[in-house]
Amino acid sequence: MTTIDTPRPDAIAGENSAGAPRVDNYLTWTKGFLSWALTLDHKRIGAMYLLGILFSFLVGGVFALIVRTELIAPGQTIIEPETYNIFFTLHGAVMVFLVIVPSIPASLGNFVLPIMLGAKDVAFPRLNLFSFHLWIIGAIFTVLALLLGGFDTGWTFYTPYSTKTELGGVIPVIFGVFILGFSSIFTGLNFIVTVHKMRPKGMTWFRMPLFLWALYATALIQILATPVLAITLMLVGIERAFQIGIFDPAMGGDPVLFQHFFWFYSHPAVYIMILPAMGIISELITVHSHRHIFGYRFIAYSSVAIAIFSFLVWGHHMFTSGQSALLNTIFSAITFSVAVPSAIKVFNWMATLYKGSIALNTSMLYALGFIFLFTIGGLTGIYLGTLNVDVHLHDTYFVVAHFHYVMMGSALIGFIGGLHHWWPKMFGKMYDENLGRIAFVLVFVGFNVTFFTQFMLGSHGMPRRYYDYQPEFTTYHLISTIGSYIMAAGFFLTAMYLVHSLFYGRKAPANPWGGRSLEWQCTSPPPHDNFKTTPEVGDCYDFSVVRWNEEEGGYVVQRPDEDPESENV
Amino acid sequence: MNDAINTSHGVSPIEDADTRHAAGIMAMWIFLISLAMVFLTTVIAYLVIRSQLISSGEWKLEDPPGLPRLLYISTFFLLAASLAFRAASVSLNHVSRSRKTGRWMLFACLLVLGFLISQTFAWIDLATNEKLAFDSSLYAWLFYVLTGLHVAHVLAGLPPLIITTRNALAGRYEATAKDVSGLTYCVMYWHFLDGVWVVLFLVLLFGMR
Repeated sequence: MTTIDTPRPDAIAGENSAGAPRVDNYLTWTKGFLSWALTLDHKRIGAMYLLGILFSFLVGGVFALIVRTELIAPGQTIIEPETYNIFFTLHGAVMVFLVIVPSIPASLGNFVLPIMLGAKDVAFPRLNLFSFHLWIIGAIFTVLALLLGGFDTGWTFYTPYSTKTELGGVIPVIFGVFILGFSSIFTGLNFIVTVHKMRPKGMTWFRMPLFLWALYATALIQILATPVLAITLMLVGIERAFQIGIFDPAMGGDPVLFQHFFWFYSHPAVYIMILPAMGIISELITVHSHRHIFGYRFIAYSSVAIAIFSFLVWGHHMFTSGQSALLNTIFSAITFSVAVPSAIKVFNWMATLYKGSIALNTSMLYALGFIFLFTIGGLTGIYLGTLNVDVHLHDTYFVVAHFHYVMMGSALIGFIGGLHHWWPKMFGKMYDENLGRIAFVLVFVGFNVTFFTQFMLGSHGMPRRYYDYQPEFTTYHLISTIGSYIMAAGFFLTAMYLVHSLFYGRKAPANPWGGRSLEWQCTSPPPHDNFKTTPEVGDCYDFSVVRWNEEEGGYVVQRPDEDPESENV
Repeated sequence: MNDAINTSHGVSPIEDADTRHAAGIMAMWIFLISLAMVFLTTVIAYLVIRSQLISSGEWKLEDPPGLPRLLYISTFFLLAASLAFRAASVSLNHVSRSRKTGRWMLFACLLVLGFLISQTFAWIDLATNEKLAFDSSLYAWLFYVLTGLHVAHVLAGLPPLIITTRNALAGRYEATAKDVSGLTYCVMYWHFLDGVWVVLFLVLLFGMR
């Protein structure tokens, strides 16, 4: 038996199909637009988030390509300077608030968290749906902001420029981000309570898959940091509407106060992005190398440690803002210490790979790519955390390259890796593995060509966000733009074979990769209520009981209950 | 090694009423902690701007505008409301006294109404004060932002308060503990608003000087 529950007749079509019993599945459980738009099923909500996030990724990606194309040569290439400002701002805002922050928790997390936990749903399914509706409303406001004249503040909304700029889209987008913040808080709240209260008997904290630890740590940051952004943006909105001067030095206010508040959210937000990706990598590495995770507790605790550290380092974004030398030194020192939990994770992943039976499929390639890119992203962060070096590198392309290595090369690559890992589970179809590998190579090579070049640009003094540049930077900008095209080709190829798999893909077995955690023990796609009975919980990384089954075309977990003698244990 | 504990025949936590109640209370705590972060940020903004205004000489310490006396009455109303809420939730634990729940809730509603009226007059009082007129200065604005944020949360708490009071008067909470979640959440929220107000009041009281 591959799955926990015996096959059940399909709830809808079961009556007239007297033949072989079909297993019900969440995708076809009910039909019609409203059955999706008003669903309380965490799997459907996760799938809808996925659709929305991937669409936003396309939009943000197109903006990025336009920006890169403009920068292919000095002077005006394709767009006006004002349009350029709006486009790079939109690229940042869309990618941060609509794509990366919600990407893993809201889509993949929503889908697998309850199943991994052995629960039927999250603790508050209605709140979960509400979060999704808030996400949609937030996205609508962002589009509205574009229609009402756009905004050119950069995704950071720094004051006093954001309260003074003429463009009409600032207040709508601020309101949109405010709403997206609520969506994020409610998702985090839901996950925390689910992990605390909805664990079935036997699922102890230290039996939880590491992805759940990562989501839990992320949720802690979401509920504590996001409210600060919400009220700060509220104040910016009030300030912009009434010109009262809270953040305006001319009126007695303090623009650096805004920076403090903004980074008090936005630095932890970086960990909202990266922690879930690290959780995914922990799963990918162990499942695809078929080897028990090394240092489970260290990885679990390091997630929580990173969450705690994340609140103590925001000042490293403001080394050049005139904050006191003492504060700078403290923030710099704490910033360095984040390297410890991060390195713990990397070393444990490497130790897991060691002597593992590594399957170099698409998900695993993304996981290995993550380790490589995250290492570069993390180590260049140490340069930027060093006070005297940062004074030179601040607001240059070095920073752009660094945070793209972390936010895209790590968080987004982790998301894409996780998407490939759980794609068969989510939609019940296998994609073309070879196309997946080719696409990975395109993305990986394209990414490094695009962003490694920018380290050089930055250290040579090219400032970020500039529309025009000195001719001496042309070669680097050209290479970087070519890299972005290669990367785009990789992503389009990925989109093509994933969509293709939905219609023509081979039917996915319950457990195509040999996973041990609970989601691999229900059918692909999972039934409407995940588990008919509360599942048994074992060591989710004990692969000794996972066997290849030719008949199934996938792996099978041998459980004690299949052995008649141990049935009553 | 008994690695796998068989619970196949147990109830799923999500279907268990007590677990759901406990989950709801936990969610409420998390929600209130999130809200507390909002107020904390605002208070910090207030204090930072205040210290800047003092050092730039714009905020004249020798002639503080002072707070309207009405704010003391507001504080009294809200503290009394908190006690009434407490009494209402305690009465739930004693089945024989459960009829009192509705009356306590109604009493709390009246006290909240008193707070709102008192607060409105305090605002009018301040807005007509030349030193604190809406457009006069930044510190006037900070006062309105701080109290306005609280009032916004008080107003947001009114619909659930009215609904739970109506339910309590109709005797809906006389049954078993699992049905009282709504009232418990409502009371938690109002205790929170009370606590926040006390903090804000102290900040204003000492911050204005």
